[in-house]
Amino acid sequence: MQSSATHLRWELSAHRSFPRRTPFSSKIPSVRRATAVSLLLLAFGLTGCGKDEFADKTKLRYMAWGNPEQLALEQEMCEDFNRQNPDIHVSFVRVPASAYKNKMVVMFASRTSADVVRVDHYNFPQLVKKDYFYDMTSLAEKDPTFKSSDFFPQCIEEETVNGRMYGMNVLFGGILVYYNKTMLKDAGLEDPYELSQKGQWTWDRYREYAIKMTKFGPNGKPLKFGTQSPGMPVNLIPIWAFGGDLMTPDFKHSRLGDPNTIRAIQFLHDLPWKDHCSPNPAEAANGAFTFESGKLGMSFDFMGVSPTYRKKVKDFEWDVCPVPSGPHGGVSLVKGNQLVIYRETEHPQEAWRFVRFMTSVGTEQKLYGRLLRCFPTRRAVAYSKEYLHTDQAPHHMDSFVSTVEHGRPLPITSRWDEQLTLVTSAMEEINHVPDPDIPAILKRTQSKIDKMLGEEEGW
Amino acid sequence: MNWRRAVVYVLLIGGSLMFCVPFLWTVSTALKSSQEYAASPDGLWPKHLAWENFGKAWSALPFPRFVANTIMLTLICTTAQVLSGSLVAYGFARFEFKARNFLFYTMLATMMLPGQVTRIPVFLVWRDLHAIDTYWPLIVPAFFGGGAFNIFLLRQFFMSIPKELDEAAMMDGASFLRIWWRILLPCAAPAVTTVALFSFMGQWDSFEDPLIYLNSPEKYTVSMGLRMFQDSFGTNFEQVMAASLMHMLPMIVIFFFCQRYFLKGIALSGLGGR
Amino acid sequence: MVATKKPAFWGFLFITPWLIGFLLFTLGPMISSLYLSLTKYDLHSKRFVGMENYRRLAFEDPLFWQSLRVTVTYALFAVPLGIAGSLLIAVLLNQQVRGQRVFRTLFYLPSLVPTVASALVWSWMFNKDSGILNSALGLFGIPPVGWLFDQKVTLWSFVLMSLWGVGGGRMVIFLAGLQGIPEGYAEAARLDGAGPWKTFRHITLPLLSPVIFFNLILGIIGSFQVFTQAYVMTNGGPNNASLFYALYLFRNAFEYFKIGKASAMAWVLFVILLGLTLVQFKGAKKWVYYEAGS
Repeated sequence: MQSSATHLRWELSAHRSFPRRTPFSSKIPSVRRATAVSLLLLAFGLTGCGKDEFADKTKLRYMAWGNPEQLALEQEMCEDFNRQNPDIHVSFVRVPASAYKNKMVVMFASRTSADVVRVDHYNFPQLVKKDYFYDMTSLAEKDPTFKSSDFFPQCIEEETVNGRMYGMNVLFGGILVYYNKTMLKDAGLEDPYELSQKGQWTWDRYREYAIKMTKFGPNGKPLKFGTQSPGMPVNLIPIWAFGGDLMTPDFKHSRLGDPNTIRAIQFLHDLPWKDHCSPNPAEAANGAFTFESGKLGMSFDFMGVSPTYRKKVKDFEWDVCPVPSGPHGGVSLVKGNQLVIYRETEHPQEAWRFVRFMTSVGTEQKLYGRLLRCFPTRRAVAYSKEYLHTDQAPHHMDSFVSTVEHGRPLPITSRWDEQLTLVTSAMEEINHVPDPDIPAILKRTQSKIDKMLGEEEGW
Repeated sequence: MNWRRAVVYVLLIGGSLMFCVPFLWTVSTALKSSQEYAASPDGLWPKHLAWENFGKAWSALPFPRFVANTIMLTLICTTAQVLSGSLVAYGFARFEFKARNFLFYTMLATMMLPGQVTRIPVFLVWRDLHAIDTYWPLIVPAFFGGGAFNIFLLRQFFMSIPKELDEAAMMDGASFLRIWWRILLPCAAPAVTTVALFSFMGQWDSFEDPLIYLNSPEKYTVSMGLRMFQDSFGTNFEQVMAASLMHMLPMIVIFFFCQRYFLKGIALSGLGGR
Repeated sequence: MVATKKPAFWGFLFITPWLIGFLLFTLGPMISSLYLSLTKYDLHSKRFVGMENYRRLAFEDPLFWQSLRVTVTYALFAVPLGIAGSLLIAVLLNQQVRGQRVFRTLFYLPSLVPTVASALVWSWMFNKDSGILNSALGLFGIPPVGWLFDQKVTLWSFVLMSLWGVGGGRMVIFLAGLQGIPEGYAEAARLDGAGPWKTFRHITLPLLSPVIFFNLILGIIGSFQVFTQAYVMTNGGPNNASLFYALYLFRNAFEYFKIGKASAMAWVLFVILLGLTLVQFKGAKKWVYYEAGS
C-alpha cells in the first residue's frame, strides 16, 4: 500500500507536466477538501436546529397570508395568546398571498397542514366538500361560552355548511367607497356621504363625479383619475344595482347574459374607454394610480384597507361612504375569511381555544375597534363606542355598520373557482379593448358556465 | 476594406451597449429615492443616491435566511452531483460493458426530455412520503448523478485524461474506486469546478421546483424570496430593483472570477450550460 | 485493462446511481404519468376515465389550444431570431477585433441573470408610462406601446426579452465553431472570387449547420418550457395572450390540481416534442453538413 501511494503521488506530479494541463493541478486537494467541508456543513445544518425550547408545550401551527401590516398584527395576536396560555405555543406560518391557495391545498392533500388555517371564503365551500376541516359543531356545543347569537348572521351563514360549523369568521367586512376629499373639493363637488344620507348617491352621480375629478396634463397624459372601475367580484355591486346577477338563486345557472347584467358591465366598461375617468388596464399597470398616492378620486375597497390608508395617506383628506345605488337598490357585498381547524390535527381542543381567542371580544376590540381592521363579527363590538367613535379617518363609521347590516354574501359555492376562471377570462376579453361586443361575450360565457355547472366538478 | 471593420465595431459597440441598458436601468432605478422615483420614474440617473433601498429591501423579508437556504442547498446538491456524477461519468468513460452505449445514449436523450413530463408523478411520490415542504425533493435527485448534462460534461473530460494514468495505477494494485478518487477526480478539477459552477447557478436560478415543493417562507430560496418580495412590496419599484440587483450580482461576480471554467464547460460539452 | 478485476461489473456498478435515478425519476414517472392521464384525480379522489382527458383537451378546452398557439408562435419567432442573433454576434466577434474578450463578456452577462430577476427588470422596462422602452420610443415621437398589457403585443414582448440572452452559451459555441473553421477554406473561397456573404453562405453556414441544428431542437424544447417569466410577469395575461404551455400545465397540475388533465397535457407535450425532434432529424439530412469522418 505504502509503495503504491508513493507511486501514485509520483504519477500525479508527473501528470502535472503534461503540456495540455492548465494550472488547475495545483488545486488538486481542494476538490476533496471542498467535499469534506460541504459534508461537515451539511452535518451541522442537519443537527444544528435540533434544540427545542417549547418541548413541554402543546405546539400548534397557525397559517395565514396578508399584507405586512396584517401579518404583523396576527403575529402580535399569536404572542398574546402564547402569553395567556402557558401550556400552548402557537407558531405563525406566513405564506405569500399569490401562492396561498395552492400551498394550502397541497398541505391539506399531503397531510402536512398547519393545525389552524385561515381560509378565504372563496375556497371554503370547496374545501369543506373535500373533508379537510374539523367539524367544529361539537366543540362549540360543549363550549358554554359560545353563543351564535353574538355574531352577525351573515358570518354564521358563511361558516356553516349543511347545518354543521366548519370555521369561524374573521376579517369579515364589505365593500365601501373610499374617496379623496381634497380632490373632491378641488372639483367643487358635494360630499358623497351627504348625498348617500339624502338617498341621492347613485351610479349616475358616481360617474359624473369620476369624470369631474379626472385631470390630464398638458401633453394629454392622465395625472389623476376619478375612479378605478371595479373588477370581479366587486362589479357584482353595480350588477345587483342594475338588476342583474351572477347566478340564479338556486346556484344552478349563470345570469351573466341577463340584459341588466350586460348593462352594468357596459357601464363599467365605459368608465375607462368612453368617459376616460378610470385607468384602463395598461394605464393602471404596476400600481400607477393608487388611492394612497392621491392619484385616484374614488376607490372600491374592502373595509380592511382602512389601516393601510391611514398609515400611507399623508397629504390629502379622505373618508368613506356607502356604495352608490341603482334602479334596483344599492347593497354592498360582504365576505370574510374563516379560521378552520385541520381535520387531522392532534390537538383539536387546543386549536379550538386558539380559534376562540382569535374571535374573542378582546381580540375583536383590538383588531377592529382600536385598529379599525375590517369589521367585527360580533354585534356587541360593532355597536360599541370604541368602534363607532374615532378621531382619525375614516370618520363615517356608520357607513361600515350599515354596509354590513344590509350587505349581501357572495354566491360562493364549491364551483366558484371554475366559474371565476370563465368569468375572469370574459372580463379580460372585455376590459383590454376599447370596443368589445359585450353582449356576445357575456352570453357566450353564460352558456359555458351553464355547461360547466351541468357537469361533474373538476374537469 | 476599412469601412467593413468600422461597421463591425459600430455593431459591436452599439450592440453591447444595448445589452447593458437593462443593467444600467436596474442600477439607476434601485438608487432612486421613492420621492424622486415618483417625480421622474424615467429619469436616467438619480440626483441623490438612495443606497438605503438596498438595506430596506434586504430587511423587509428574511433575505439572509433565503440566501443561507440557497447556499446550503447548493452546497449539498453540488457535492452530491460532483461525487455521484463523476462516478457515473467514470463508468461511462473507462469501462466496457453490455449495453453501455445504449445506456449512454438513453442518458443523453433525457437531456431532451422536458421536466413537465415527469414532474407530476414525482410530486405525488414526495407527497406520499410526506416530504412536501422539506428540502428532500430538491436534494435527493442530485445523489443520482445530478442530471445528464453534468455526467456528460465530466465524462467528456475523463475521456481527455490519458488512460495510461489509470493503467499505471492499476499495475500498482489500486482499486477502481481508488483510481476514481485519487486520480480522475483530482485531475478533473477544472471540470469539477465547472460542474459545481453550473450547479450553483442552477440552484440560484431555480424557481419552479422550490415553488412546487416549499411552502413555509422560512424555507424559501432566493428566487422564491424575490418573487415573494414582488408580491408583498411590488409597488416599491426602487426596492424591487434593488432586490433584483442583489439577486443577480453574485452570478456576475462569480462569472468574472471563473470565466474560463464557464468557457471550458461550454466548449467541452458543446452545450450552452445547464 | 487488467482482466482480473472484472471491469464490466465495476463499470456497471459505477453507473448504477444514474440508472436508479433514471428509473426513479424519469422512466417510472413517465409510465405513471401515462396512467394518471387516464384518470380524473384531484389529490383527493381518483377515478379511471380512459381517454376522456385527451378528448376534453382536444374538443372542449380552448385554453389548451390557446396555450399551444402561444407557445408555437413564440417558438417560431424566438428560436430562429435567437439563433440568428447568436450567430451574428459570434460572426462579429470572430472578425479579429480588439477587445474581443470584453465584448464577449458584455454579451454573455445577460444570460447570467437569474430568471426571476430578469423577469422583474423587464416587466419594469416594459411599463407603459415610466418604462425605459417607451421613453426611448418617445424620443422618436412614437406613441407609448402597451407591451405586457396589450394582448396584441404581449407575446412579442416575451420574444424581445428572450433576445437579451442571445449572447450566452449558444453564442460561445458558435464562436468556437467559427474559430475552428480552417483559414484555408475561406481563403480558397476568396480566391474563387466569392464575397464575404457568399463565403458565409457556402462555407461558414454549412460547417456550422450541425451546431445550429442541435440548437434548433434545444430551442424548441426550451420554448415549451417557458414558465418562470410568464408566471412572474403576466401570469398568462392579458386575456391569455401569454398563456404558455408550461404555465397552463403548471396551473392545471399545481393550482387547480387537475392531475389527470395535467398529465395528459404532459404526454401531449412529450409526443409533440418527440415528433418535432424526429422530423428535424429527418429534415436535417438535407441541410446539415457533417464533415467526413467526424
